[in-house]
Amino acid sequence: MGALTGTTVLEIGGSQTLYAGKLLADQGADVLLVEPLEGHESRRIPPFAPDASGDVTSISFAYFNGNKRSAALPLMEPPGLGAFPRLIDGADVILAGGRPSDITRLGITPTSLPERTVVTTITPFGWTGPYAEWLADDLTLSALGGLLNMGGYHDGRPLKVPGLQSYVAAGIFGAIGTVAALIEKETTGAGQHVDVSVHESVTMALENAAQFYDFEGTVRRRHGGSQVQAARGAYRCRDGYVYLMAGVRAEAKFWRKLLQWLDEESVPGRGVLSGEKWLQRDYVESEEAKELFHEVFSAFCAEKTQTELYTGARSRAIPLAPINDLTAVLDSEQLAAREFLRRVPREDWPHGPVTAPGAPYRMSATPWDGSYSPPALEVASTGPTERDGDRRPQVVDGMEEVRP
Amino acid sequence: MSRRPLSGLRVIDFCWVGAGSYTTRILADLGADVVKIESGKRIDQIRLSAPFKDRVPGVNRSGYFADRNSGKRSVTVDLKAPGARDLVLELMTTANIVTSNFSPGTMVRLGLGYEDVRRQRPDVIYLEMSMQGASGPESSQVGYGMTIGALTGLQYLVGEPGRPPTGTGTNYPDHVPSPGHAAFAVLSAVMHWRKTGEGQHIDLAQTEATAAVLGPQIMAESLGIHQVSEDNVNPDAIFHDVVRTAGEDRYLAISVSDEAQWQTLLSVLDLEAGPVARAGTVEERSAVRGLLESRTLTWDPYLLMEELQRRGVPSGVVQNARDVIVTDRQLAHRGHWARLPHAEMGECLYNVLPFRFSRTDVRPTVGAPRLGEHTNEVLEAAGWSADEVQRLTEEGVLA
Repeated sequence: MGALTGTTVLEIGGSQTLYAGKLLADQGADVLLVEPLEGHESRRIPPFAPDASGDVTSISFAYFNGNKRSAALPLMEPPGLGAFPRLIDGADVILAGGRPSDITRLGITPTSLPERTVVTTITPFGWTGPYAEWLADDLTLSALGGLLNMGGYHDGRPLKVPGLQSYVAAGIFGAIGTVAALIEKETTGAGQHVDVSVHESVTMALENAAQFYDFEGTVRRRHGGSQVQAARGAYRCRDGYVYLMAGVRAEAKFWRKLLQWLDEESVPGRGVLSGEKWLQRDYVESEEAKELFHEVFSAFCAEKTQTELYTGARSRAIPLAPINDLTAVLDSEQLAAREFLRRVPREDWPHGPVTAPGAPYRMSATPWDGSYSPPALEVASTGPTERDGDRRPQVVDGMEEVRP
Repeated sequence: MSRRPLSGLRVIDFCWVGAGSYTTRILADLGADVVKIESGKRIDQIRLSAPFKDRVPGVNRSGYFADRNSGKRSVTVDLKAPGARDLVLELMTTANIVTSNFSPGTMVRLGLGYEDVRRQRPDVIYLEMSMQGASGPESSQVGYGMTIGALTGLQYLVGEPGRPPTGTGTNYPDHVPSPGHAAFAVLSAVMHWRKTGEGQHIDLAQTEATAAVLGPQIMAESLGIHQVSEDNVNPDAIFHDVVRTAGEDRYLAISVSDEAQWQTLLSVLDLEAGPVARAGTVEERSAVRGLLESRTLTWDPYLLMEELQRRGVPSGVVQNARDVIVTDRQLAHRGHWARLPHAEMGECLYNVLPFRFSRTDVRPTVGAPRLGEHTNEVLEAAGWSADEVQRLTEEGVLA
């Protein structure tokens, strides 16, 4: 049993909500994804499973919605979901994505819902404000939120992380806000509007950049392809790159351990790295220090593989890691030992077996209970599938008559 | 402070540095009484990390620390001093939630493991969030958000062929995936506790919480579709990238999904119908960017954004830290930034959680604590006398 077993969630609208709905479903909530008749937009989000034989081809759709039920409803004309009062009345939580006007057009107005309902809206910019109705996507929101500016090379343009990360971030915060509102409701009996902004969710990720501007007036820039300071950056090794984070921060212990390692390996040029100046922020951030360190450490790395460097760093408690591609992630001994990755049974995707992330947390009393068997859009007419009988789309409120 | 969702719940918090402290900061904003157990003998590194107020280092002067620790109370205990363990265990009888992000085994070695605490407080919610989880051959590895990003593929997925991958350029896992999943797990545990009276143990591996945000990409890789940097491409879009504008290091992100928007963009930029970008090759995309930049380089990025938005083309300035604090009208309208007083730093800048509740205000109202600011207050409220507190301070237990 999950912590949210017995909680019913109606998820509707744009893809901003997908990860929030997944988090709630994986803790036991009964999440019903309300789709327009042509299917939720996330059925068309890449990447796609090649040569898929069934209705579900979007891998993203399977990942985000695999633990939800689905109902395809005619929502194009107002009152939208308002035409299905039993659905609204039966929901503890309404989770809606898109711009405020998109959401109200779907028949969701936070102030007109029953008092006990928690309504979580995940909108590009929040429910109100000068940008509230602006057009936006993952790229423009990553830009406006301030994170995009820090990704990419020091001599190049800003580069974005794949995978709708701004929506995932807002989904995480949306799930947090939703459960907090449910806890509050346990006390007061009243639900409320949890108004989540994707834009602000991105701004949560600026690390210390905002405080650097506030205190020092400095604006952090991209530093990809260069060292932030000596011993802090990506270094080429025999079979790829490693990331080292032994630059001097608050304490010098990692720097000392690193020097000890270089001593043990009799690394040429190691002597250059001696002296107290290497413990001063101003010096390790100087071009001279970065160049001197880079020369010595890169020559050391060039002889070794990612695994050799990672193993050596681990035994010495130095923060260094291989810059893994996802095949290396799939092959990780650590993730295997913890049984993190799950085999997903999908006969409709011929190039499998499919492997997917499992629990992002391990809870002893209410364990994660994920699934990657999303509903096909049109299964309702053919009955339950063999694999996962109760995950088929639900036909609700006499919808049989209305469906085309 | 008015009622909040976690009002009445106490967190005894051993978290330090990045992701852990951000987790309990979320709990503090949601109303929990977060008592941060720290020590002058082994200072939270972030207290000693730049930026500092007036650029003067000091344990109570870091803006980096402040943003991660608003609304908490600080109690200094030297966990290695004789008697410290008993004191902390007794304090834990008042705790609903215990949190830490040390290397696996540290809490057990301190005599403060889940079983130790559960004897004092059978219904405790006990969160441990180490880098790679409590078990497995690599569980002892130390790391930061950047190395977590490297291990999990996040960093690999941003960059150009032949150059080292760049990732987000930040310790991203520390700010969203790890604290976010951890806070969600704790809140779920609180829900369960409210219904059943039962506590539980939570083991969060920060690497796993980060891999979870790359779910579709990991699944695709397992199907043999090798995942590489997108180079800002969206295969469904006509144009989906950033272009340079007037100003130093200034870019505007533009996302054109249909022919009408593309024509509008060309018209705003006073360009003849140019080549259509689509996914194309690197060179083709670069040529289209070049064409657009021949005009955008003379545009102020904000004016161009406003004009494109007015005409229905999604766009957003690639904002930097100054922009989001000073320029962004939307963040200002939303009250995203809070400025809260601090006894040593004066006013300090804090992110507000990215949601507003209609009934319950969850904005932070109290800034970060000074080191040990609340030692006396917390212990005396929990039953220690002022004399005992003074004795324990002199003996170096409360230090």
